[in-house]
Amino acid sequence: MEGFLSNFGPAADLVFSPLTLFALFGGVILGIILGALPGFGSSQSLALLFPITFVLSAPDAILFCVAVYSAAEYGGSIPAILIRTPGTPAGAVTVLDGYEMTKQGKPLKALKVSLFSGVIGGLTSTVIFIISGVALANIALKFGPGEMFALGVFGISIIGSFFGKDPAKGFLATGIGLFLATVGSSRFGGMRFTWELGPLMDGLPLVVIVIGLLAGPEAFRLLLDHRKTIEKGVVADLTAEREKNRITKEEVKLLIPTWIRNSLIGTAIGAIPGAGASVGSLIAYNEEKRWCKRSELMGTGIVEGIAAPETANNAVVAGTLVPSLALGIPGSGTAAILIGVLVTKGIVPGPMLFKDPETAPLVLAIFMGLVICNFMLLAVGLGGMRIWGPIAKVPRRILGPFVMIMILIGTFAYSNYWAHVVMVLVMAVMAYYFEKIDIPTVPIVLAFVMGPIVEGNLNKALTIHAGDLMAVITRPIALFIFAMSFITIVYAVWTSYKTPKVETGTLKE
Amino acid sequence: MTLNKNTADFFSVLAITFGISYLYYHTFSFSPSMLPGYPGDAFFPRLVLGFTLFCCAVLLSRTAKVMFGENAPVAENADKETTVTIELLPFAFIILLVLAYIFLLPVIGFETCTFLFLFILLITRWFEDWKPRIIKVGVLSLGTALFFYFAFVILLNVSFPVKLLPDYIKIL
Repeated sequence: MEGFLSNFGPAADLVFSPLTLFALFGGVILGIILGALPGFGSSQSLALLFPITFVLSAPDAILFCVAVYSAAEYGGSIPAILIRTPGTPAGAVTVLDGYEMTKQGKPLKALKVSLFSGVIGGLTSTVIFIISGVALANIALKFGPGEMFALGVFGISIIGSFFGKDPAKGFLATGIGLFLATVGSSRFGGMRFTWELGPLMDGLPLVVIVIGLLAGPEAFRLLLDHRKTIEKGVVADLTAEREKNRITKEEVKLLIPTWIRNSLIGTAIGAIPGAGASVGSLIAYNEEKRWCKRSELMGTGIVEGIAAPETANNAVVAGTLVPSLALGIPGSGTAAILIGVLVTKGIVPGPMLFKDPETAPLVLAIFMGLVICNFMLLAVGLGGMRIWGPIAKVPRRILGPFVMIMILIGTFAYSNYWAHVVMVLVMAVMAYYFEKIDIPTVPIVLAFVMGPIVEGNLNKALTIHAGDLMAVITRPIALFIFAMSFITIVYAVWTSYKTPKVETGTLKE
Repeated sequence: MTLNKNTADFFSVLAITFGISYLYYHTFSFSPSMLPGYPGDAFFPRLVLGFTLFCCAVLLSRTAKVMFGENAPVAENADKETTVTIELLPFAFIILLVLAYIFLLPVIGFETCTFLFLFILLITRWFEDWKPRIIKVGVLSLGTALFFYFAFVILLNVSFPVKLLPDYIKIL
């Protein structure tokens, strides 16, 4: 840890450059706006803004993405509180008490509680992130390629098991993602699945997968559902008197244990691959019902009911970064994009990221960036509180054309190549249909990101062991991790068969 | 187009199975290993495709059991949960519009193409009388096209084929 903290100087240089601070600030504003738009979760927001990272350096790009991620989680609560329409899936729980408080004529108070809770959750989990991230990386540093391969298989087993309603479909999606990752060069001189077609020679770019599979179906949904849209014309009056919207000292006293509890819950949930902000906020709300002193009032518009899910879903952000950066296992679609940004900038996530003198300052810079971005979120959130209402009211039917054109232009901007735009269209059509038949698309993105890491480690391990696969998979630690993967799969299948009529939760972030 | 969910599941997974089977067959054309220990270009894809085929087999057998078994669902009982609905015409229209955008861009230019794309999509989504609708949608589409022109062509130097406006502006 001490050695790691010695990178403080270079990390501060990275974060406190004017361009980086501007990227953070821009990320916060864009994140709040996109998060506040109905139907836009953090992963869709990041997918849509992904092309912006092409023109940014690695630290600026990753910090921009982290800022968008954090701010979108807060942004999702705005329409939940003001118009009873959650902007992100995680915001769905905030509706319960947030909208009730708005009905009582205290929308600004609800927004303030949501903002303060989000910021506190974000800051607490950031501190936990850096401590646990370093510890986890130190353990993982002892792993060889065989163990890292096993860890990758474990990540894939979790992704397949817990995304979507059905593990079989989750694993089918994971398989498709892993296959898509093998298109192009094998890195050993051979070409795979290219059929000598020029656009496939370099493999499928991450931008195509991310935009096509995450933002594409949302664009189709917005464009196709326009006739069914029910307009909600009324937005809460944000000019209500100040006294009514003040958070009292007594309420702060009540909120302190809520903030502590749910920061821990959010960080822990974020660190589990496959969970995410929506699960985090749901569990936080349930736990709050058990522990809160005024639990009988939950759902009637009390501050704890807003603070619990909002603290947790912002704490998830830093929690997600722990396995993503330390082990290279992205736990959600958003984390896959963050890892993808690193990979496109030539940085390989994993334990070496924390040790390598070239990249260690970047990890510390992410930590510092998270802290700064939370303070920026506080300032921007408070300053713009009265502006967000009209944004939340933008009709979904009007958004569709803009989202689609941004997808087309953003994809072309990646490398000025129209074949990529056609690929995005194909992916978006496929993803839209897959979602109709309950094949989740997030595992495809996750598996696509993890595929090269898993294959690379397997190839390294096999080369070390002269091609003996048994020698790779029967090493004690690897064997233990494989056993965990097996148990995870069996548990998921058993759970889904035991409760066939109850949705195990579409962990769509 | 409305399909029974199980039928849609069955035929979709069947199509995926055929596709994956062909891809598995295709892996036999990959180059063999040149390095000692390296299992060859086809090893990992075969692992992945084999695993995916197994998932397809599980899904196919399960769906077939529901479709052709004794407890097969009755068509009259179909509701939103047991059917898949896709509005084919609007869906095809959007795909054609996107393809038209891609292919017409070099011909009529980025500015006009972006304006027309937005105008066509927005005009059907703006619920107002025709005159104010055309004016508002026109202004919004034009403004957005100009915003994208300045953001991507001028600021980010993306080489979109522009026809009416200059492809660079000397600011200083």
